Formats: sequence, C-alpha cells, structure tokens
Amino acid sequence: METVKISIDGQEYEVEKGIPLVLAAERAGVRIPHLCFNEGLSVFAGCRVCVVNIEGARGLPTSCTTPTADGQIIWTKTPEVLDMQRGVMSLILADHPDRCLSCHRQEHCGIQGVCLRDAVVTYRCLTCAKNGRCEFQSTSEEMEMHRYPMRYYQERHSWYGPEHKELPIRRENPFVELDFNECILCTRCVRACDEVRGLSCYEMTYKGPEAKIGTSFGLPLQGVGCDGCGACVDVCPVASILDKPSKWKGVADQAVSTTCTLCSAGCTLDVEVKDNAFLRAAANRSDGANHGVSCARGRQALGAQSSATGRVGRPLIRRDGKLVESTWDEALAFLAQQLPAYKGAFASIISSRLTNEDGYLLSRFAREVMGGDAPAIHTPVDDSALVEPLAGMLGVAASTNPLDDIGDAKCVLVFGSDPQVSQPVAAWQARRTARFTGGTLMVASPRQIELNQQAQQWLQYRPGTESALIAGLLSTILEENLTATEFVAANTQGLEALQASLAALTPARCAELTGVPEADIRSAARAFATAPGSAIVYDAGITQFTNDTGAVSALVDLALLTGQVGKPGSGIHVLRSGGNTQGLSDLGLATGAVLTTLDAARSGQVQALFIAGADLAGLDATRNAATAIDRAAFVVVAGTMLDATAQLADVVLPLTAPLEQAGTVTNSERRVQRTEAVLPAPDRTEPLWGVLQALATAMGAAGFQAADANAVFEQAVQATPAYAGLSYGALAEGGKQWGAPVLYGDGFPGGKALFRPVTLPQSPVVPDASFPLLVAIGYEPLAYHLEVQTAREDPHSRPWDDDVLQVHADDAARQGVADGDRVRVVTQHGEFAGVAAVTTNGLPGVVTLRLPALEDASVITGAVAAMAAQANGARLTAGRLEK
Amino acid sequence: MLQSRIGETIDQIVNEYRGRRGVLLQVFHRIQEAFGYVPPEAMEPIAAAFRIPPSTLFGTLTFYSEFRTEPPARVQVGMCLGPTCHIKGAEVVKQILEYRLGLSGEHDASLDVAIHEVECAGHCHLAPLVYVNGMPEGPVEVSAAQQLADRILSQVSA
Repeated sequence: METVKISIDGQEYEVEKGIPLVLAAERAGVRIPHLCFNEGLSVFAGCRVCVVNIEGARGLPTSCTTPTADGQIIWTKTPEVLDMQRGVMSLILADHPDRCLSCHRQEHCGIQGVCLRDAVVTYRCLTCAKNGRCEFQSTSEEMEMHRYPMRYYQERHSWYGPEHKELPIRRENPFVELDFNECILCTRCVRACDEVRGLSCYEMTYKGPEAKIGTSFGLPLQGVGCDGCGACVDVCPVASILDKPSKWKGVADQAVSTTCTLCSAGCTLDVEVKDNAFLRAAANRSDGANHGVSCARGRQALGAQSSATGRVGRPLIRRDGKLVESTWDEALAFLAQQLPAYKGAFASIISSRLTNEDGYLLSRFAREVMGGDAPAIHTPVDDSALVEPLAGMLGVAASTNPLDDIGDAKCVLVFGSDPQVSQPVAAWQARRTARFTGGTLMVASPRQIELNQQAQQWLQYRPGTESALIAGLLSTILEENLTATEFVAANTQGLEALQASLAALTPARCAELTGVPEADIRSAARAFATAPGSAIVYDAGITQFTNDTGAVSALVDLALLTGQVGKPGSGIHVLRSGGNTQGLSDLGLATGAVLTTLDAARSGQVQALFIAGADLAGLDATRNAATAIDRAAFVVVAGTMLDATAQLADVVLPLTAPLEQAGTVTNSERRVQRTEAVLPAPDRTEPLWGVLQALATAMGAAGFQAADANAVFEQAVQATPAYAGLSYGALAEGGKQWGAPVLYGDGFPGGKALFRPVTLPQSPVVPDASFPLLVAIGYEPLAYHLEVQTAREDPHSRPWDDDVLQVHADDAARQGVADGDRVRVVTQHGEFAGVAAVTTNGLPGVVTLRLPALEDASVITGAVAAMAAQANGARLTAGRLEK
Repeated sequence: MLQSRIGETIDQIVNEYRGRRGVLLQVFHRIQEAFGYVPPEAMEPIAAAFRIPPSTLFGTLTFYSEFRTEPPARVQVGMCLGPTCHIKGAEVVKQILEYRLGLSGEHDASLDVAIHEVECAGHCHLAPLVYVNGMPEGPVEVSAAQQLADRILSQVSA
C-alpha cells in the first residue's frame, strides 16, 4: 500500500494514496459528514454534504471525489465549510420528513427519548421505523441541524403533509419494504444492487423534481430479479428500504458476527440481538467467505433456528411409556447404566449443521465408548456421490479452489444446478464473472435458472442426459485438439480409457441424446477449454440418479483434460448440501450413510440409536425412518425441539441451538470458521460436545474432558491430519482454509490424477401413452432446506405458499390447465398435488415439482419419495397431469 | 391490439438491432412509433437482447421526456407558450380549452384528450398557436378557443 502525508485540520496523517479523501479521513479518525458515499460502492457525489476546504483547490470540493495526494492541506471545520455543509444538508432536509431531525426538543429528550409534549404527537420521531438507527438522522444530529437557521425551508408539522410526495408504500415483497417518501436519492441501493450484486433491480427513474428510485415500470422487487439478499437494506441511510420482518423492532442491544450454517457457503453475518432474542441479520463486510454479500435465507431464517417456541427445556426420560422431565444428573446416570448393554450394536446420526466439536466427540464416543461405526451425517440432500469422484480421481474430497475463484475465473460452467438455491453466494460469484470481469458464464440446465439472466450461453438438455452432455464437451475437446497436452501428460493417467469410452459419443451423437444443438456443445467446449481459467460449479442437481457418480466424474475429466485444476481462478466447486457437511466429513464422519444406518436398525443389527439434531421422523422425507427408530431397543435423541423423532426416544437431551453455541464449522471451500454464542442458551440446555464428554466420563472413558469448544477443537485438530496447524484463536475474523487455498498446485497426492471413462446411466424412465410426461424435481429457492433446519413454528421460516407444479405452456394448453389451477401429477408410484404454474421455461413434456424441502431418497416428500425409491433411484419418473 | 401482436412487433424491432451497441434509444423510438408509447411488455425482450437489466432500461426510458410509458391520448393538444403567444393570451386560451375539454382539476385522467405545452416553433404570425395532433391552428384568439374546444370534442366522440 502506497501512502501519502496529508494534513487534516492542522494535524498530520499518513494515509493510503489515491482513495477518497472522506474515507482516508474516516480511517484516520476524522469524520466528514457524508450520505451518499459508502465504502465498497462507486463514488456518486450526489448528496454534496462532504464538502471540505482543500488549500489550493477551487471552491469547496466534495471529499468523496477527491483522491488523497501528497501534501494536501484540508480543513473540515472552518465556519465556511460548516456553513456550506449545513446549507447543503438543509436542501436535502427540505425534501424529507423532518420531525426526528430538527425537532427543537431533540436535545431535551435525546434521539431515542419518549416525547409527549411536542405540538403534534402523532408526527413524532417515534413514528418512523428507522428511528434511532437512521444514518440520515445521526448525520443531521452530528451536524447540529436543529440549530441551523433554515434558510431554504420551513419546518413542516407533518410527515405526510399535503406538500409531501405521497408515493405509495410498496409492501409486496415478503422481506423488503419500500417507502420512497423518505428517500434522499443517495442511490446507494442502486449502486449496491448493480455494482456489488450484479442484479440492478433499482434505478434512478424520471428526472428533475420527479426523480425517484424505482424498478422497471414500478414492478415489485421480485418481478425485476431481486433475490432478497438485503444489500439495499444494509446500505439505505433512511427509512426507505427496510427489512420488513424486523421493521418495527427497533434498535439492537448488540450485534455479534457469526457464521451462518444454513448452507455450505458459511457466510459471516452480523446478528443483531435485542432483549436476548434474534432481531435481524445483516451481511458482515469484512473479508469472510461472502465479502459482505448475504442471502434471503440467511437473513430471514437464521433466527428461526433458535426460536424459543417448542424448545426442549430439560432432559426427558421415558417412564411407563411417557417422556418425563428429569435432571441432567439423572439422565446421564440412566444413560451410563443403559448404554453399555448395547456396545457393538450402536449407531449414531448427526445433523450436518452441528459443529465440528459436536461431530468429533460424537465420532469418538461412537467408536471408542460404544464400539460402533463413525456417525452418519444427515444432510438435506444426500451428496456423498457428488464428492466421491473428487476424492477418487484427484485425491481430496472437497472443492479444489476457494469460492472467490468462481468469480475470478474467465469462464464459469454452472452444470445442472441452481446455485441461487443451493448456495446463493456462489451464484453471486458466478454472476461476478459475467457482469464484472468480462468472463463467460455458461449455464447447463433443463430449465432457465436465475443465472440465465446474466449467462452468455445456455445449454438446455433433457433431464437425465447430464453425462451425455459432458461427454459431448469432452469429445469436442479431443476432436478439436483443445486438450491441455502438457498438463495431461505430466499429471494424469487413464486418458486412453476415457478416449475409448468417448469413441461412440461424438458431439453429433451427444447433441442427439441431449437435445442441445451440436454447434452449442462445440462452442461451449471451446470457450471452456480456451479460457485462461475455467471453473465448474455444481450441486446435487447435477444428477437425476441417486448414487450416480458418472456426471461428476465426467466433469472432473473435463477439468483435467483442459488443465483447469491446480491454479487460481479455476477449479471444481461442489456446493455441498448442509452447513457443516464438509467439516463433519473431514473429521471422518460418514456421508450418505443415514439410510444404511436406518436399515441396520430395522434389521435388528443396530439396537441403540443416538440421533443428534436431525428430525428424521418429522420430515415427510424420511417418514419411514420412524419404523426403523421404533425397532431400535434404545433411542437417545439430542435436539432443540420436541419433534417427531424426539417423541420416539427413550431419552431426550436438550441441546443449545446454533446461535447459542460457540464452535467451529467448515464451509464448502474448506474454510474452518467460528460460530459464536450470539444468544444466551436457555437454562439446562447443553452443546452436544458438552453432553458427550459428561456421558463418556460417566461411562468411565478417559480423555473426553475438555473445558470448552476451544479445547475440543484442539483435540480434533490433533486427530485430523488435514486440520494440522489450525488453532481456534486464529479462526476469528473470517476463518482459515485447511490445505492450500488452491489444491493440487504442486501436484496430486497420488502422483497423478486419474481419468475415468464416461458411462451413461441407463435411464429407467421412458414416457409412454399412459404416462406421457417426464416428472422432474426442482427447487423452491427460499424454502430449500429450511424446513429441515429451522423451527417450523416460525412463520418466517415458511415464506412460500404452496407446493408448485411447473407445467410447460404447451402441455398446459393440451390439458386445459390454467395458471393457478390445483392439479395432480399421477405417476405409477403415486401422485402429488399442487398449484400449477404455467411457464414457457423448460422443455415441453417435462413437469417440474417445486418442493419446499428436497429431494432424493434421504429427504423427499410423500409420494415423491415412493417415486424415487421405486424408479431405480432416479429422481425422474414418468407421469401424467390431471386436474 | 392483441398481446401477441404487441410481442411480435417488439421482437421484430428488437431483432433488427440485436447485437449492435448504442442503439437503445433508437429501439425505444421505433417502439414508440409503433405503439405511441413504450409498453411494459417491451422491457423483457430488450433486456434479454441487449443484456441490460429491465430497471436500468426503465431509468433510461424515463430520463427522456420524449418517451411515453403510457398510451397517448387520441387527441394531443399542444399549447405554444412562447413569448408572442404568451403576450396574445395563450394562458387564457389554455385555461378555456382545459375547462371545456374537462381537463381541469381531477378530470384529466382521460385518454381521449391531453394538453401539453410546447416550445415556440417560430410560427408567431399564427399566435396564439395551438397544435391539434401535430397540425398547427391559429390564431386561436380567446374568443375562438371555445369553438376549437367543441371541434376537438366532436373529433374525440367521432
């Protein structure tokens, strides 16, 4: 960083060269009032409040547009500067409701005080939802505007008086409320949405006195591509853009940064707390995994995870068929007495959102004390097949590169997936490539996803032909000699087998199989192979067949063949399902083993089950888990809620909720991060690791004692080679990745990476006369995984209305189905009812079920579960539509 | 006009300019020529063809007062408010027209007639000058304003 010496108000400072003066001053501890300037956004210079006197400069320049330079002499507090700043501010005030800003009683009652004496009680400052946390208010107070003789306007005695704008307040969006009567046209929202998020939902519309922030033709936000990320809410300095659910809840007592565990992005969020309860969450702007970006799920559902309703308050023990309240001492003694009988016949299942410490101790308890296998990780979607090829072909079961490398790549291939749903921050990274770095974004998907708005190329394939499409890309690369020959020769083996498997899969043949034009396959392959850095992004949507690793290994082949592994700005990015699946599997817990564990219980092989944090019986999905749990002789459930699974238990242990417990989690880019105890845990709840160490000690096992999460983590690090060198303390501030940030930079663990031949899955699904449609499963963005992870009592955790069936317009016309009709999809395995959404998105002949909670055999809803189970593990089936 | 016809026309115009840069205003002009205004339906196709987000398009569209975002009235009355017309009583003529056409106060939401002000076009020999659907009429003295209003009304009801 190059620095320069400047003088502000007679004091010398050394500041970074070339940054806006207002920012340099702020960093040096001198505040220059400003409204439109916001660090991280481009400079707009619209509010003009930040004017200062710079010696030698003409007039009073704005300090946001003036870059720092050596020898600048700046005066920010001269009468001339203050008068100009206040004059400018009074012009802005003239167009803004003002009772909270210029009230003559302000200094008597303070900015938050309750005032009953002002002339017009109903127009008080307290009638504004942003009161006390409004930047405009604090700036006005800081500038002492209530003392300023208002030359340009007269104080008005109303919020919405006749002269006021009277713009309609927009409440259509469930998360963001818009009231542009308050707007001061700073355009922070326009810039944040455009420059940071790449969505451009807002724009300055009209001009002159008519100018206002708006959307295209005044459409609601959700109609112009808004994904509810809240970037605009975070930057709005006034009460124009508000977080709707927490609108009237006021000012936070404190804000704590923690890691969100709702998906595997592991965003750092600032959680605001009021009266010991969750108030709202905002993106943390430091350099975490998310770089100040957040998503609707994180902001709105994080609190629901720790909802106070329905909590288990004390340990429960089953006596005479009923769960009876007990004490920890009693419960632990009871367990210590009962469990030893089940040594060797014990299995455990842990939710993928619990911390590394919880997983580590449960794993040790299961293996060392109970003589069982490593615990099974319960993920919202079984993603073990998505990671196996990474381990088998490259060496490490994880994404190869940091998430940033998606945005830094010059070509991004999002394959069969919707990152907007599975990991919104990854979608933002992909959008960054398309909008800001001049790269190419390619989406391969049967249906248009939100990223299609920015994508340069769309490969629309028939569901179930994923492997064939990748085969087309591979054979184009081979045929057109686009192979990274040197990389392949030095680092890989098995190319001949791959070539042999592709012999029959020419680009033309693959075009025929997938429905994608050959020219598109070829141009996509060229773009991917020739870009200096290309990244592949996928989630569980990549394959329509459970336990099918073929599509993923073909993608790994693609990355290897083009040498897009082991360098920055490239890589293979798997968006894992579940907040801490990566961490738990790093520690040796088993992915994809929930169903086998349940089967073992059903067959009597396992007699004691320990289920932590996963409501297996309550999810429609694993409803048949109840029969397996019932078969087990002894069931211990540790959780926060008295849910359907807990109802089946012999002992229920009350756990602390995610926001109540300090610990570590690992995101899908292998970044180990801290979660903090943001909220106080209810009395008598314990973190799982705490329960396990007490239980193991009570059962006579040694070496389980640990004072806190820190100590457990140190133990886990000792036992996990990949985590060597990590320390709990060093994980504060954005965490630390294990392994090199970019894996395989200096070769592959096994010496060489391995190509695998491409095999096409045998599609069991052929539509016929009685079942003419292909039924696929889609995602509902806001709902994805939520029901699995949050308290269902909280209305905000269920912001969608109904299960939706997306029907192509051609099929709808043939069947006489209109948008909004209630329809049924009948398959040979069962049927599913929902509301029809008629669309031209997608292919004719395909109906997509958009379900709240997904997806395959491990989590799936009612009839769809049966469909999946019977259709040879495919997530596809044939069906027909009935009204 | 049928929805599908609107869509077709828009697609046709957009396709003519597809792949070119700096043509947004021309596209808006062509669409306004076709429909008399730029309808909301135009935003998605333009956004997709030129890779500009719809809200950004709308910001550009509303920046220029030349573009309309609502269907124009059937009869457009332009009042010249240049200095000569002003001296010869154009303000009063405008008030009479507004009153007679039912455009004063709350009644001006009608799509049949609209009055707007225009800049001096140099036909000062015709002052006070009124344009009816682009055709200049004048001099419309205060005494003649009422007759002109009646003529416009008969044109509207026809």
